[in-house]
Amino acid sequence: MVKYIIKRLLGMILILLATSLIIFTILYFTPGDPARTIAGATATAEDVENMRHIMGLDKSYIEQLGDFLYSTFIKFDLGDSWVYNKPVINEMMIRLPRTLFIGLSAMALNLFLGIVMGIFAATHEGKWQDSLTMGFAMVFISCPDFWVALMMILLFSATLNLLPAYGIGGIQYYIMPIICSALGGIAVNARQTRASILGVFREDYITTAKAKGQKENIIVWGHMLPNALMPIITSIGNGFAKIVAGTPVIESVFSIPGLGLYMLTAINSRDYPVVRACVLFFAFFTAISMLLVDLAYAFVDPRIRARYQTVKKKETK
Amino acid sequence: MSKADEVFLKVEDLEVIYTSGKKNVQAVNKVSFELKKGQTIALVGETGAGKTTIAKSILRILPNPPAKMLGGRITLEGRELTSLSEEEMLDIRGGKIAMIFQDPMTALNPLMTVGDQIVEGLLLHNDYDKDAAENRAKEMLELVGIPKDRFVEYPYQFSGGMKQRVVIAMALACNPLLLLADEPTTALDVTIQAQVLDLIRNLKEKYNTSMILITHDLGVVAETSDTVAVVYAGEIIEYADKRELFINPCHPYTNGLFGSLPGMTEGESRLKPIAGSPPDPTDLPKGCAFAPRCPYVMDECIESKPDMKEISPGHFCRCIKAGKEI
Ligand SMILES: Nc1ncnc2c1ncn2[C@@H]1O[C@H](COP(=O)(O)OP(=O)(O)O)[C@@H](O)[C@H]1O
Ligand SMILES: [Mg+2]
Repeated sequence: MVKYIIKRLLGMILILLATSLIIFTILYFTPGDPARTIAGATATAEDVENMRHIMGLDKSYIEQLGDFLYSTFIKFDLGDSWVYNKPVINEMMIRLPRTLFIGLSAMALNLFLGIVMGIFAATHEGKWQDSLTMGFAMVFISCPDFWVALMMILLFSATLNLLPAYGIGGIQYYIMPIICSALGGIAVNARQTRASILGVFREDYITTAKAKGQKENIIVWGHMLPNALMPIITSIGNGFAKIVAGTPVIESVFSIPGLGLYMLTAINSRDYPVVRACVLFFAFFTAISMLLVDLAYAFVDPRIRARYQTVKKKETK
Repeated sequence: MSKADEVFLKVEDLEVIYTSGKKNVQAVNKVSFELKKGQTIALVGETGAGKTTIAKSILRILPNPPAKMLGGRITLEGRELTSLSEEEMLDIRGGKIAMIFQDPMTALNPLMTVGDQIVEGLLLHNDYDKDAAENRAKEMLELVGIPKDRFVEYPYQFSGGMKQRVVIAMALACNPLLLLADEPTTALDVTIQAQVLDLIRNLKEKYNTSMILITHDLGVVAETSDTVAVVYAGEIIEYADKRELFINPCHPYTNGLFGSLPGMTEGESRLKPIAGSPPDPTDLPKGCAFAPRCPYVMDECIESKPDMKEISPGHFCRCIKAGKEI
């Protein structure tokens, strides 16, 4: 198992290298001149030329790429922001906790509600409870998150004056962003859970558990849910990967200075070191969450676990 | 404790349908039989006859929907199971009545160790703590011929025959009064069928468990059962003592099944296929369900359903010709 994890981590370095190459190349060939944008509207041609030199943009593609890869992968330095002249990593570390907090809380919320709703719908298959729950899920899926965000601001901030509409501060600033980010996921997880629980509902081992005299809710949570978990884990993994990249829209609406908003602003101001660092970080986070998903599969299913074990257990007849 | 010849399990007029779409499958139709303490009744009949449905209705574990028990009474040691609450049934299931399923490959939860699956039932029906339950589970594994250190292994690490042994260990762990064995060897290699069957028989003897044995194998019926019920299209069409049935089968269908059984030699003991196929269970004929395939069919057979007749003490048959020479 340890060997497997090490192998995957090594593979991750390759993924990050490839991502670096691609994002660098795309930004390099993007039309327009970052030096002009950074130097400002009033700068003379000479100023811009100066700026290009300072930013290293007068070097060749290969030289610039080499510099970027060297500082990122050998010196572990993500560079300085062109706009603010400060190390990108410092700013990211300040912003990351906010994004993670929103993302992880939203995920915990949509996992819990999604699974509970899915199980509730599945155990009432075809009855009105099922239609009602899945109806809710449909509504959640169909409402765009920015629209829900605006409606919530209208209701809870503008009308009821209960929650702050934007910015950061205490926990109350995060309530609406978390709920808005969670809504879509709740619906996805509820539908996924319902479908996979129904898939194992009629399995023979469920009948076996019933024949043992096991109680209904222990059968559902102890036998059905673990067996229905694979597709649910996959969708959790997808949600997890999206957490950091996830919520530029929500962060914009609620003016939360998180990673998503950081990248969005950097793209607008052509602050390429920031864009590159964010993209790399997203790639890293996605690769980690994919690894976690695979480990979770192995945790749940002994057959997958066995495949990772180097010493293969004997199969006895 | 009931006396040896007292009726232990009584099934009366059991009626079960499956609703699929607009159609109703008449799976079990007015089935009645009795079982004495320590005895074995064999249910024989073609696939789809309703045998599994009968067994599952005793435990009340039919999938609902689509299954629905329309009527009937099931009494175990004088207690009417059909009127128990769901909570009371939890004690019966696995405690008083246990079931061995047809397909061992799918009967075990793939994500739980076999040990935990045996322990699960033990904890439900005994005052064991975790250690005691584990010891008992290991004892049961050894009893069915599986080394106890395989307690921590998962179903995928076992072959079909061993899985069925685990299922048997699980079923018998709580010393049930009644064992429902639904074709316990059909899914297994011929080479291990006999072993598994011996195992069930020995354990049953040891604990004086009563058994309902569902099987296709007349050799098994001959060796294992005391009484036999022949099931056709959801009905019992003949019901008698094993010896009586083998010597004197009355119903043309039983005759067909048992027909030309030359002294019950090994390998020749499978049920004989009979020309034609069972009637559509969503649209059963008005008269005798076997009439369309019966070589002796008469007008009367098609018009009305024959009653169950007692042609000699304890030998019942649902055929107008029963008791008369064919
Ligand atoms: N879950 C189900 N849904 C619909 N019909 C079923 C279901 N299970 C069994 N049946 C039908 O009920 C009848 C009896 O089935 P079953 O009891 O499994 O027969 P047997 O065990 O004798 O082969 C068959 O016609 C079968 O198609
Ligand atoms: Mg069956």
